[in-house]
Amino acid sequence: MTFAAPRAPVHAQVAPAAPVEAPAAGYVGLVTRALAFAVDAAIINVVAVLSTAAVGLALSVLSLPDDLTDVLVVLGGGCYVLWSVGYFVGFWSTTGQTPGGRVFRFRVCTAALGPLRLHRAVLRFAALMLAALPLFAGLLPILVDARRRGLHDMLAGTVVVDAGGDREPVSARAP
Amino acid sequence: MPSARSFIDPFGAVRISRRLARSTAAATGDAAIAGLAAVVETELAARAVRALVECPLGDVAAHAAVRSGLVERVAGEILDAGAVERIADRALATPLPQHVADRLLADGVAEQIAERVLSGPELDRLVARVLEDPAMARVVAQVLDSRLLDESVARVLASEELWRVVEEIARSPAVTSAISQQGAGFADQVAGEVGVSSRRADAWLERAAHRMLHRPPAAATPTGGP
Repeated sequence: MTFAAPRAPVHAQVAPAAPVEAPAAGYVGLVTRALAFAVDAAIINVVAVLSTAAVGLALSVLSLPDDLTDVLVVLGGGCYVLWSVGYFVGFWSTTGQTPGGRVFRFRVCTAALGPLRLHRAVLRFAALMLAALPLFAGLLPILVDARRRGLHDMLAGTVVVDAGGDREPVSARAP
Repeated sequence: MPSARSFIDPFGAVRISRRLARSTAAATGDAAIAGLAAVVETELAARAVRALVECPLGDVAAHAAVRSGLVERVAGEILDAGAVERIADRALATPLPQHVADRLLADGVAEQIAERVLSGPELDRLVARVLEDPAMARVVAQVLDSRLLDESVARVLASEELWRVVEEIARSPAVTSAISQQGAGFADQVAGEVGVSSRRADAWLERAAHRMLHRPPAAATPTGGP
């Protein structure tokens, strides 16, 4: 894999006719994104722990067979995965900002600075898992890419841009 | 000894004629006044007076009375004679003042007066004069130094009503909204500061990475390129 910075205006290749919202500042780097991810992970886990505690308390008054308990554990794990996927996919495909992104004032959008569709958000999440598998090596391109894209951004055709400050709609220009 | 008058008029004819002339003049005067009174009470006299008042002559007479100071002299005479006081006393003894007060209140005159006083500059001037008066400063200082104020404050603080009011105010939507806005503003400020620091860390880490890879720094903004 090469980390060569693609200078070609990728987003201009899919330039939309309608004006899109452009950020006042630039693309967001690895540290900010990692901190925002930590905030999101904290939210996900706090909700998961609270939910698990509530369900555990409710089940503690019942004497369930061991097999059923195992099934419930697997079911809980599945719910956790679904909750995590739904969290990111839901926020990316609606506002473009997870709560962590909102705290750090950035949002995820397409290379043309448009909003993410649901399928692209799912693809980005899958690519993020893929990028995280080799000891997060898939995130290193963020450090050297001209648009600070990780592997998952490249695969999903997305960028992470600043959302703070005054923003004005500009038309994406043709190359 | 007989006087000279008895030689000139031994029968008193002169005296009698004088007496006769005096009584005749008095009778004539009475008759004239009675006639004048009869004339004044007639419709003709009323019409004549109306015509006199409404004609330019009435205006001329009024102007002349004003110019010559006749009005002031008459008014002075009335005031000196105490006529105004007597009229005022008589008027105050009647239900007229109550009636006038009722009418003023019913017609909203009191509200108009209050509005005029509140909106006019007179009240401001009066308040400013009172506040600038050294006597007012002395009075305020005395009140502040008095034990009465301390006792009053202590009683107010000890009262349950005060804390109920404070509780109501603290629960009011305006106050809770203001507090939450302040909290949100603080959180926003903290997030902004952390965001700035993290972006500096982004830049530093990328510079280090580029140095390690011997690559020139790549900088691009979404609005910078085409």
